[in-house]
Amino acid sequence: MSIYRLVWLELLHRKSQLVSGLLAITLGIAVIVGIRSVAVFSEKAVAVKLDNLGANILVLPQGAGVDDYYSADIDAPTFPENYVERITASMLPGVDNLSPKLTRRVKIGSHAVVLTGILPAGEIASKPLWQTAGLVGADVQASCAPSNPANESQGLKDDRLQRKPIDALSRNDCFIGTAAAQRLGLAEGGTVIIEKKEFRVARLLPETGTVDDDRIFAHLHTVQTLLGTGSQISAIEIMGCCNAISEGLLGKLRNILPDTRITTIGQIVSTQIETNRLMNKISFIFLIIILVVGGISIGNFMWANVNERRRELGILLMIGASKKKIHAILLLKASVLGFFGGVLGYVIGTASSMILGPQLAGIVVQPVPVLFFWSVLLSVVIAIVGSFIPAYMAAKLDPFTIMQEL
Amino acid sequence: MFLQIDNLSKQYNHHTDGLVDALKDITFTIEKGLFVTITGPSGAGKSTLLLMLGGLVHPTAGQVVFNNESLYALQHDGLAGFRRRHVGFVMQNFGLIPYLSALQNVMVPLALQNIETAEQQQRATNLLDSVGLTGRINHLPRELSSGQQQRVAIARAMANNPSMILADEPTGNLDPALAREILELLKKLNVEKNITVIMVTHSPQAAEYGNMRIKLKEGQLQ
Repeated sequence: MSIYRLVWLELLHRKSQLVSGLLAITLGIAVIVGIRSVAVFSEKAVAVKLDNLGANILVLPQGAGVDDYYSADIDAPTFPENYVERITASMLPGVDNLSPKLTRRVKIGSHAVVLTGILPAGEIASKPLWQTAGLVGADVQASCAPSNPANESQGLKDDRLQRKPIDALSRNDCFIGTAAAQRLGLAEGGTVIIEKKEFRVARLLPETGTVDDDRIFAHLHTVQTLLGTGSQISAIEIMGCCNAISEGLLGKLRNILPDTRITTIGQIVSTQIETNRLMNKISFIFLIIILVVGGISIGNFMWANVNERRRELGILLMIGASKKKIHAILLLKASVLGFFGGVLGYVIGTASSMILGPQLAGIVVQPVPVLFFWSVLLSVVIAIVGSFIPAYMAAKLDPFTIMQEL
Repeated sequence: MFLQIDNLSKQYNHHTDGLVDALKDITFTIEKGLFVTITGPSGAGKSTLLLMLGGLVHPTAGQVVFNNESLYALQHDGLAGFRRRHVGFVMQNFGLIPYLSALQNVMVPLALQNIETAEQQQRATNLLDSVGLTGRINHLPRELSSGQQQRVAIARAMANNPSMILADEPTGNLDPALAREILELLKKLNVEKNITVIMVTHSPQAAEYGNMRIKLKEGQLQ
């Protein structure tokens, strides 16, 4: 006979109490686990969507609008290319990829097209500082979007695979969007004269349905020379991690580049960020509710149990149990309840989120192992905290009164 | 001196009657190995005195000295230790834990002394054998007769090899034949093991077993 066995036998003796006590804590933990599981996979899904969307932050010259960027006016303002280095040197977390661009409208024959100067990934990789910052073609971080195999296993399609990165771009080559190629009658391997310079058409880009279809892409430094802008660019496109954006990445970028205009591309970013924020807030609110309600429920359960067990506790005091021992017996019981409540809560919460996640949130949810640890810990802590006062009161029971009842 | 009671008084604050004297200035001594009976009418303070000797009720005044040590100079843990090591209790309603078998009930005081389970089991089995419950060790209290339950309670009281057994109306719920069996068992323990037995009783027949008899009336010795 050990104290553990004594506690266990008492729990089994009062089965209905065991079930009701366990149910209170299990349901509370299940709710938290369910919401957190959905939130975790929702964040991952949002990150992948944003990742697939491409750049989501645009750094423009002060006074320029997004329209200027897309219309590529000859007079559109610019800023120095070395602003890119300011960003990379700051080592800001959440800047997942960036791309400096110079965009101008040019005439090719009778056709007006937009010429965009870009830096190929291979050239960016040649800059040691940028490599340190992990900005070169690196996989999106797990905090932002899961790696590709993980994405696929979670049913999250990675469209980046369809947008092959421009790893290398010779100074005399260009890539042409589908619509521009059709208008200019160009084919892959052909040549085109832009501003009196001949470029080889290295690749026809697949149709994207965006403004890129009407563009010609050439090496940034070639375009700068051709247009006589010097080391100026008209924009930096940044792929920012959605979590980092919600945590104030835009503000941090504004501090680094105060004389620029920094904006997010598309309503989707802010909407998804707000969704993630909402999920996190709901998780937090539920956590507080469960802490309070769960603690009170367990406390109430333990208090009823102490009253029902006055006679037993009196017997234990009579045969030599110290008050500390009585306290320990009751807290051990609470811990056992908390442990099993945590395990069951995790299982039920995870199973519920896996079943309901695809139906309600449209995302595939899988078990989040780290939540198991937190479920058990939280559950045990709630049970112990909730039981502390009843256990203390039990240890203070008046032996004489109890002995009179024997 | 085994047990010395010096000017012991106890007052209770009753919710309607105010301060009530349960015991008033009682002094006596008990030598080791005696069978002491405490008798008196209801409300005379018998049970209060017994619980005070067991370290369960603090006196309002006076002291209980056990083996030259003032009992109530001890803190709660000290008093619990005193009960674990020196006292066995036998109550009128047996005081068994309902969801534990006879064997487990006897093992509980040993568990409180952190004795290993195998030894607990061996000692508890021997004790139940000695009170004639060999075939009943795995029975729950509700599966035992009143007399058998009281035997389990006596076996539990003996588990820690106590110096004294404090019995509060141990035969109060038993028919005369069973009562006699229990009293004989207590007497046997008193004589054979030299355990001091202090028994509160209403029964004149039970009181006859004592070789020291204390009579209380309105909280005072008669």
